[in-house]
Amino acid sequence: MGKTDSRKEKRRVKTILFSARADSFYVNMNPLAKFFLLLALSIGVVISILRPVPYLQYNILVLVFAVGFLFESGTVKYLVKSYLGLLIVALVVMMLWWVVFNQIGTNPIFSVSFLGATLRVTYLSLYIGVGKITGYASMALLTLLTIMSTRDADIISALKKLKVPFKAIFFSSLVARSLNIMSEDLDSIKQAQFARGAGAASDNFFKKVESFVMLSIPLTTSMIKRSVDMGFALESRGFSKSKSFSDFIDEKPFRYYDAVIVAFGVFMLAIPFLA
Amino acid sequence: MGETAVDSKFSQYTLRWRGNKLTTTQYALFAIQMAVIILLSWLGAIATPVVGPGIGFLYWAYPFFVVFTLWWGIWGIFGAWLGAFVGSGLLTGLPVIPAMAFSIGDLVPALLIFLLYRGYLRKHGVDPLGRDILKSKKSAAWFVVWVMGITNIIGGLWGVYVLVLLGFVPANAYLLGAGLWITGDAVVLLIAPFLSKYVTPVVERFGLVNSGWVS
Amino acid sequence: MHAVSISNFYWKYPNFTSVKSDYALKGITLDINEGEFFGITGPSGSGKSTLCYAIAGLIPHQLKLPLNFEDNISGSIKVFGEEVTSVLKENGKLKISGKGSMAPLVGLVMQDPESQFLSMSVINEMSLGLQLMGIKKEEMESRIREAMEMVGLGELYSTASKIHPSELSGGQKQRLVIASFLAMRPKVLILDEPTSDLDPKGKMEVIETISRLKSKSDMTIILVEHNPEVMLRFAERIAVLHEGTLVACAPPSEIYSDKALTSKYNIYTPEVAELSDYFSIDEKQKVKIPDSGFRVNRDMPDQSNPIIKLKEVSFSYDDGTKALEGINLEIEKGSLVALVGQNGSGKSTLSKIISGILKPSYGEMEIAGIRPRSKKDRSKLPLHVSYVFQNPDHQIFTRSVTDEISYSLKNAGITGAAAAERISSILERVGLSDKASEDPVFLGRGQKRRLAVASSIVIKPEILIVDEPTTGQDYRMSIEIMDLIKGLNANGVTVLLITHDMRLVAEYCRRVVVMNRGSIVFDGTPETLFMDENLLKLSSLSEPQSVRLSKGLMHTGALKEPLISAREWLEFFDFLKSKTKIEFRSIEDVEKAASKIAAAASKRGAVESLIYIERGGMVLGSAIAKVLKCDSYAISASHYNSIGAQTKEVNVRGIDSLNIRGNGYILVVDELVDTGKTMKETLSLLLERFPKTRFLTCAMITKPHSIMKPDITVEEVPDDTWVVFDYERKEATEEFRKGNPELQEVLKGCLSSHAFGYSPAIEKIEKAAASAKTKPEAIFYQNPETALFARLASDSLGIKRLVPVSKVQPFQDKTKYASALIIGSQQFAEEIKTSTNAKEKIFVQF
Repeated sequence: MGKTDSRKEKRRVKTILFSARADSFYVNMNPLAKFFLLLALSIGVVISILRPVPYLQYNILVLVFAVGFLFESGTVKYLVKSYLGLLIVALVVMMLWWVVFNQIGTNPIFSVSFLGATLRVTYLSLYIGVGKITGYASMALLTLLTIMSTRDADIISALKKLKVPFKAIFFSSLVARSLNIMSEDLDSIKQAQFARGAGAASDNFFKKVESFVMLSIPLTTSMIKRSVDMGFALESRGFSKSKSFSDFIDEKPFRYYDAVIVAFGVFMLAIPFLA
Repeated sequence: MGETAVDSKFSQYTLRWRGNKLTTTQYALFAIQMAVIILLSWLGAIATPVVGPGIGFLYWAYPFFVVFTLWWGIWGIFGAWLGAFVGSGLLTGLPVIPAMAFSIGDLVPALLIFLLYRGYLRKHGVDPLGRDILKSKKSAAWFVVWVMGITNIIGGLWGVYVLVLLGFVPANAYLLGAGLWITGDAVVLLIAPFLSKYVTPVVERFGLVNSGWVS
Repeated sequence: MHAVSISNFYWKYPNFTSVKSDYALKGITLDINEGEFFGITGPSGSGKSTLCYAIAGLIPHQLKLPLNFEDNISGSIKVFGEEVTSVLKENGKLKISGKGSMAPLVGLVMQDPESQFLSMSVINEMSLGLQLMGIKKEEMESRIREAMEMVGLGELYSTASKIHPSELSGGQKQRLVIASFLAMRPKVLILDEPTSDLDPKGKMEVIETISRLKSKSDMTIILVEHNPEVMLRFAERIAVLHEGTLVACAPPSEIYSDKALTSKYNIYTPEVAELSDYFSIDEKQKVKIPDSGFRVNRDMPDQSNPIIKLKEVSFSYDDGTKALEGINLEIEKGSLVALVGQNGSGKSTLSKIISGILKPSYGEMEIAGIRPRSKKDRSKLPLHVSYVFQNPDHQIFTRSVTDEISYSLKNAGITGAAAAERISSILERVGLSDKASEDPVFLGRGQKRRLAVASSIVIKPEILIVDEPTTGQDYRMSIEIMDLIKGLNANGVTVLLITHDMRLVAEYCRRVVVMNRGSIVFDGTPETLFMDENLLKLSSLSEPQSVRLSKGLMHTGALKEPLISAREWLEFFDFLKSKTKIEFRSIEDVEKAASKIAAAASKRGAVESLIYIERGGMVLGSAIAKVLKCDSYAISASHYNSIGAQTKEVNVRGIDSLNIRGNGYILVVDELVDTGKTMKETLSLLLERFPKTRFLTCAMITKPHSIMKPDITVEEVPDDTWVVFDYERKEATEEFRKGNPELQEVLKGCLSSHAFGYSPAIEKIEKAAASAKTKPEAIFYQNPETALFARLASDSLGIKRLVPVSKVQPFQDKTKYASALIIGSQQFAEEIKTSTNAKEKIFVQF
């Protein structure tokens, strides 16, 4: 849609999902440091919620961190538009499961009898439920933050740093690139289906099944066509004959603040173990 | 032709490691199919009723990765894993750790399906690409037992077990969660025979079905 | 040294099932010189891309081949003497040898820039090829900068690592692909329809890049292109491919001037080629065009009954991109409106809103009487609005061509015999009858597009939105598709045509809506748009060649208003011609002339006999003889040879065999006395043969510069007047000149049967009519050869219904006559047997 005007300062960059502020701290973080932070905080939260009573303060701390950087990276609007509803449903369901299937605690807030079974909601079970959903929410937002603030090229650069062989790296890059292309093709196919009255917009389950099967023909054709184009494009650059792959641009060197991030990750990981 | 003989028309689709030389076009195709599975997993997951913590009811990518696995062997299996990890995992906001662990629950069924169809079933007169599920009782029975049944159950039990281990699903609700997971997947898997019958001839006519695991 | 040498190369795409396929390339032998700018053209599916892939070494090396590929490939290809592909026999086994992929020596830019991007930033895209070559970092940087500057993207270099390819416009994308190959410094660069997926602005950018490449480098460039103007501008030679065969290879001006070649192979030609009698291929005038009061007849659309109503409609995508803003648009029922603008201007979004695919973010709309408020309402819109997408692959869902059409019909509730009839008729129209049971996935791109159009229009929707329907079609098929759409439109279907092709807009649409950045910036007639230079620039549109010609002539004052299409230009020239043309439209005109001549001749005394000069004088002479009730004799005299060229001598035949009694005077008849040589020579020979006989000469028309003035004339016309006779249409004479033996035989037959009066011919017809069981109700006759006999027979037999059948026009008359006479040649009778519906057919051969 938007055309690139070379004279304008580039304010946003395209990321794996949507786009983010070009000058954001989180966007410009070294990808390895960013992935480490994601893993460290997620493990921290898992350890927190695996305790008999989740470590609520910790979960909230991670949640605040994630929300803060969603704002900082300029990705919060996409979160609100695309995922917030989904996340809220997931959290409500999770809360229900933990309240219903985790009948513990002695201090009931209320109880309901149904078909001979009694459902009790206690302060403890509610606390555990809240601990679980804050933990889940913090991890989910952190994952989304990472995806929405990372560019496909960052993944390649991280893999290169990890000394993954060039063909494997390139393969991952092709998968990422294809996501973009096929997502557009898939959208167009679904719209084309709708335009021919193929029931793509129907809520009826069988209609949905039918449209999924019908989608498979154009989807396969498009996959094959794209693969021939991409294969030829690769080969016309000498892909299969190349023996070495020279380095070019290492976009994000590991800088001092990346070291600070890693240290922060280690610190955060240590908290649930120590607390 | 005896029960144990390999049908000559199926003889090219086996469990050997490499078939023909892998062309760059195929290399690109395998990358694209993984992207498609990720996309379908993602679209399926965000448009699916959430019935439990981390449990979506209808996983639309499942039938697609089943046929992709039958066509493209290890690439399809890897695509099944990546679809679950990235598509219905990370991209839907599922935290990275459960996503990584539960995606094994898709990789294993895909692997088992490929092994059975290209190995045992091929030798016993069942189409290794699943095109005959809708016309042969034997193929239909194997599909129900192995694809909708055993491998799906293994995947479901594993996936929910991971969620319990990670503290997302209460231990008391393990069977309920697994039951919902397995039922939902079994329902969408009903599409697979149609996909196989409908689309396999197209891929085959392009000469793009793998004769072994890799090519 | 030749940059590329191809020797007797055959290639058939492997097919891994039993379905048979044809060769994509058939015996191609071609040499391309080093440093040459070489063009390749031909219709979709002719093998152009395949040839490019073969030169680049991708075919056959990158495709999976069956074990026995003997049938798939033969011949060889070399690039700068290096073997790319050849087929060898080793130990009795076939083996493909050669280097295969020719990177970095050969670069290949394909049609769709989107799927050629392999990485996720501009800088990585540029570096990929160089990295694969193992080039050092410093050199890479300088090469990348240089290549980007060469294609006009130098300004993006500083931010190249932050720009994702999908953020670029179409033209930028394709230029980036070109640059990524330039950085690899190839010696041969192949550009395979690099502009076909681009909007006019992108096309222009890429064409400018090509122009820079041509002037600044000594690379060998191979350009595949449909656009004749681009070819004329750049290519030194072009090769024309047709169904895999190389049918011509010559400089473009030669190719495009060869009417027989371009029409035989349906090659797109510059618009001026259609006006080649008046302009040369470089748009220079060939004739003096006088000032004229010519006014083009253009209908103005009615504005009273809108079927599409949009009020203040806006739309934003999820990521906040505003695609439409404040759209107010009403489209009349039954109109054909063009929707134009560059990519991203909002055309597709607007179409998706009209067809119910997208929901407007703001505003009101009413489509075919429906005001969609909910998703359910919107899902009803496809029943009223058919939207044919640009990419046909996305709209094909079934496994056979027939199923694809019947799928649409089923959705519209049409099944059974009615459906079958519609399917066969639509497949016939779009030229896919022989593909009815083929899997659509395996059709060519042009065929798929036709199928997509056919599947949408078969249900006769109220509104049809069609996106670039003619892309990838050859000239004939483009016209066929547009005629199909035009036909639907004539039957009341409202059509919204999305296109970048301004020739289509000029030719078919009376209203054009131009969009730019989500808004409508123009809504009016094509001629107003084409004359507005600022608007054209703003919307990155360019006017068709016809308009450019008009603009030039308007400056000179020869034209008052622009002529926007070749059709209008031809109308204009017809108008100019008609000022100096006398047309005798019917036999009645000739009969009136004959009566006048007969009256004037009778005043001079009794006419004994009449001699007419065939072939022109035959009709007039016979008509005069009928009035005068005298005998008539035919002689032939001409100073034109069999191909129509003038000869020095007049060739007169038939005087020796004349047997005239010689009591009264003799009238010598010709229809048109042009130079007068024929008449003069004829008369002198007649006087030699019959020295005592009185002769009187007469003609219908005479021209002032004639050396022989006939004694009686009906009309004298100015020297430059063009005289047209109904019975002597150009087509018929051309057929005759071509030496069609059948027709010559017929004409000879006419003359011999007519050598003595008309009675033998009429007798023959009367006899045949008498043999009929029922009295004939109609006469079908071969026009113009037997027009006279038919006319005379109709008088003598009292048959009112006379049906002329011309060889050059399709004919169908399904009236149920009890009995009918068919007058003409044997072949003619065979041909029209099925086009008439008479119970009894009586054939009279001439």
